[in-house]
Amino acid sequence: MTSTGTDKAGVAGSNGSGNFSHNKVSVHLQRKIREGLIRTFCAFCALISVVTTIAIVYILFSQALPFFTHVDLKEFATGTEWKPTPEPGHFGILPLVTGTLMITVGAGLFAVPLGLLSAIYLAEYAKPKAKAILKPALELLAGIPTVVYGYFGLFFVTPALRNVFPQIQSSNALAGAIVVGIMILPLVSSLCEDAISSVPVALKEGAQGLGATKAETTMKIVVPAAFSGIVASFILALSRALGETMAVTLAAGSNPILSLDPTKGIETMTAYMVSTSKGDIEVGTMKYMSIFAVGLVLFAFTFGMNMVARKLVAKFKLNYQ
Amino acid sequence: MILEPGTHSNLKSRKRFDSLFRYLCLGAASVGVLILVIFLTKIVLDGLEYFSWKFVISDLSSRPKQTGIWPAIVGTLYVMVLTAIISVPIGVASAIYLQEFARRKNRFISIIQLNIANLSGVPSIVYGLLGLVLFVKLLAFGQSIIAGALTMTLLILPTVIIVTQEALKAVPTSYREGSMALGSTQWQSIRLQVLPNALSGILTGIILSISRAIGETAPLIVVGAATYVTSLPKGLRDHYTVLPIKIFDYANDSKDEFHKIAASAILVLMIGLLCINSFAIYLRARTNSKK
Amino acid sequence: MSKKLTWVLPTFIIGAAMALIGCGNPAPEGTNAPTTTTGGTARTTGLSGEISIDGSTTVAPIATLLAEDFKKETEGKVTVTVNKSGTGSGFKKFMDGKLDIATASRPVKDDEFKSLEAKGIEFIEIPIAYDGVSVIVNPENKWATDITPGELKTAWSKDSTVTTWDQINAKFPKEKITFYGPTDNHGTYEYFTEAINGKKNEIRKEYQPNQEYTAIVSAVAGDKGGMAFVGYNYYAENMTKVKALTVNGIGPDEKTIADGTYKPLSRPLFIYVNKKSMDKPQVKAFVEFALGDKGKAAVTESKYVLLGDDVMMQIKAHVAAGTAGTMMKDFKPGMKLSDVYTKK
Repeated sequence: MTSTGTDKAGVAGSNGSGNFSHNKVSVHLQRKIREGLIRTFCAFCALISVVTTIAIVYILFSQALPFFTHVDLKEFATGTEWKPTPEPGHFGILPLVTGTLMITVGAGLFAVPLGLLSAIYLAEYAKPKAKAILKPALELLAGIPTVVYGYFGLFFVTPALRNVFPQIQSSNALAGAIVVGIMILPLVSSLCEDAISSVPVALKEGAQGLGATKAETTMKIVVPAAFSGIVASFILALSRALGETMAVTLAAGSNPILSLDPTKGIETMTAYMVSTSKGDIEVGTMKYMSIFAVGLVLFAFTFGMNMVARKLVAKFKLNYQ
Repeated sequence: MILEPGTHSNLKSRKRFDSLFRYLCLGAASVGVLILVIFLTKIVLDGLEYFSWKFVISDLSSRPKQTGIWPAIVGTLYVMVLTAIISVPIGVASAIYLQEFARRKNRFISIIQLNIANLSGVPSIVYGLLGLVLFVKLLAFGQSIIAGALTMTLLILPTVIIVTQEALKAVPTSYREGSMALGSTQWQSIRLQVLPNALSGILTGIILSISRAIGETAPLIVVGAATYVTSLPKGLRDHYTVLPIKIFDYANDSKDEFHKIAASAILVLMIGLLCINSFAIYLRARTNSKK
Repeated sequence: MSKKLTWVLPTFIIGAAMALIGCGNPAPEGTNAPTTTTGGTARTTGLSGEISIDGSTTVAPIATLLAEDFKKETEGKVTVTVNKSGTGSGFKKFMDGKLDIATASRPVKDDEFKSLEAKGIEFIEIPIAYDGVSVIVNPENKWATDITPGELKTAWSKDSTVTTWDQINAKFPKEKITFYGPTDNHGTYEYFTEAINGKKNEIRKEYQPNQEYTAIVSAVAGDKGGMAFVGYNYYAENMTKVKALTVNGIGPDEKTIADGTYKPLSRPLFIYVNKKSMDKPQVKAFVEFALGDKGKAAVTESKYVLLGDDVMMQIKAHVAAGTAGTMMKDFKPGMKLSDVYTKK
């Protein structure tokens, strides 16, 4: 009851005489209450993120479930026609999934090799002057909003492609894949660069000490050593490409057909979700529920990919820390 | 492999491969710069025709020559300021809890951390769906500016938390320990020692999160941001439009003049982003030089 | 540190430069407006409030221009919100009492009329323009220039199995055909199906539906074998991108739509005003605005076709008397408004 350690800071309320008074106890109590309140508030805020996840999962399931009472799950998963109107409509999701995959895989084909090679250059070869130009350029590319990429796809990439493929439609999968590839290039590059830079210098020096050229060291020692980190970066970038909405809606189209022809317009899952939301969506209609059904599939895909990527990064960190 | 017999005899070809590889990587890295230059040139060339001060401050019109994008600029600013006001306290408080108060790093905390990392990878349109059900329909905010801001808050919250945590981590433990050794409570040490030192990192991170959010269109479309408004939003329940949605709308239009106007709107957006990002870089540089 | 600062300087310089370039071309407001607005007339000053309009995407270009010009006329005091969810969706909201005005590219349907009656909502039906639904194809399509309604029916009917152009007309080559059109909440969809297939909302199974006409136009513009049907405005504004087929030798243009020779795809466009809303002074003023000279200018600027003077006089009398209800019960595609309005 005599105040000891708690009043050492000499805050207002102590009368310096060493014996406890009504003042000291209440200050001590006040401080403890305030601490507790602040701590609780912060904990509460941290919980909001948990609540968000629960809310997302709950909403996706609860709004999509009635959809599956009307549409057979098998037809949904394997059907090749996606035509919500005219009623009753066909709801086979394969056209949307193929559309999404065409964009994602196409973007990956563009961004993965380029991103890895630029990361190698930045991590291994680049002098500070070169870095000062290349890195900000990549950061700027990453900062461009996705709608702008869509514009670019519609009004630069497609007309340019028309010189090679005269029959190309005004919205097409190839333009979408290129544009999304450019979008994820900075991500691949910076994540790979991090992975490569974390490889211990000793490994590189060892190899060079044994007579390997820089290229050989990089390809045979560094890249394999950073492998799981590199693969994780690919997966994260592809997951980002999968969830991309505006650029593909503009550049690749809103035409849900099942086709592997890159000159045709297609529709990704995200494009369908945003195009349908633009019109008037009445709760309870098939159209409304279909948005959530597709959203559920999208969420499952990206969630799965992110988990895999995270496990790989953890494994990678384990190896080098 | 390196010590294989014969490695000396093909030294020439190995050296050639070495320089080839080097140029290949340089080429790959330059592709980014090249694309950036092409992009910017194209946007500037397309957008200059309709870009003017009048364009910036005029109302929306369905006539290409008369249209301006002032309502979109105002809408974007309102949504972003509201988003910042709501997300920053929550995000910073969460980060403080995870980084400072929760010292024991138990299972519970690591689940929250994992959860936040996952949330940052969820596609933005899914946040739009969340906002639609929760804010627009359930809480009956309708297609209003507050519903949009709340949705964007949820979208950038994970990023704000992660960025703030990084900034807090960067403050040396000695600051905290020294302060508490002098008798301050944990909150006092956070408030008086840790936060001021982490502030620049936190601010930079927040500004960068917001600037990324400005370009997000999909969630706002789902929660009902309009493509055409006749008046500026005055209250939280009002309809609104934002720059990226106008860009999307104009790009979709069949009239070619509106495509050029889309480019002008893009110029406005990019200039705004440039200013915000420059400010963030300036902040970072200034506080770095202080140290 | 200095490296970071070297980033800040150029960006601010670029930003300032753009602002200066931008400031270099100011133009006084309204120099390009076809309708000069110089403050409100005696009737329109003192008005305030809101007007909510929703409905047809076809009518939307007219409604948006009217809304903009009316706002200028009232010096910004009246805000008119125009949405274009589609004729069907617009009527649904009208039935819920949420709209002052529903725009429509087809007359109100029987079941819609009954629902409105049941809810006690009276409306004033006002035709505002003529439209000619245009059948558009790609400019590279050199083989098709004319088509008959029968051929259109073969292509678009419910049981149609047409996949190549020669199945429509043996003289056409065997080129793949892709069908594009609006979704079923659009009045144009309902009108076209009734006029061509004989029954509302019956259409071929395989076609690409789209909510936005701009997307339909872009699709046909990029697809050599494409065919679509759109409101006249969406064809007339894009004549460099798509071409229209003549129907029975008559192509859509202002004259053929006005005198009805472009058959059976000429049709009137409507606005339906909630009778209770007419008690609001701003709504009444807006309707008068739409029926006046400014309204006519909006119709022409949207590339739709004006109604004849005699019909206009009757409509104005109709509105002044506040007569509720529809005159279109027996209206069939191919008929003219004067058939209905002079039936007194």
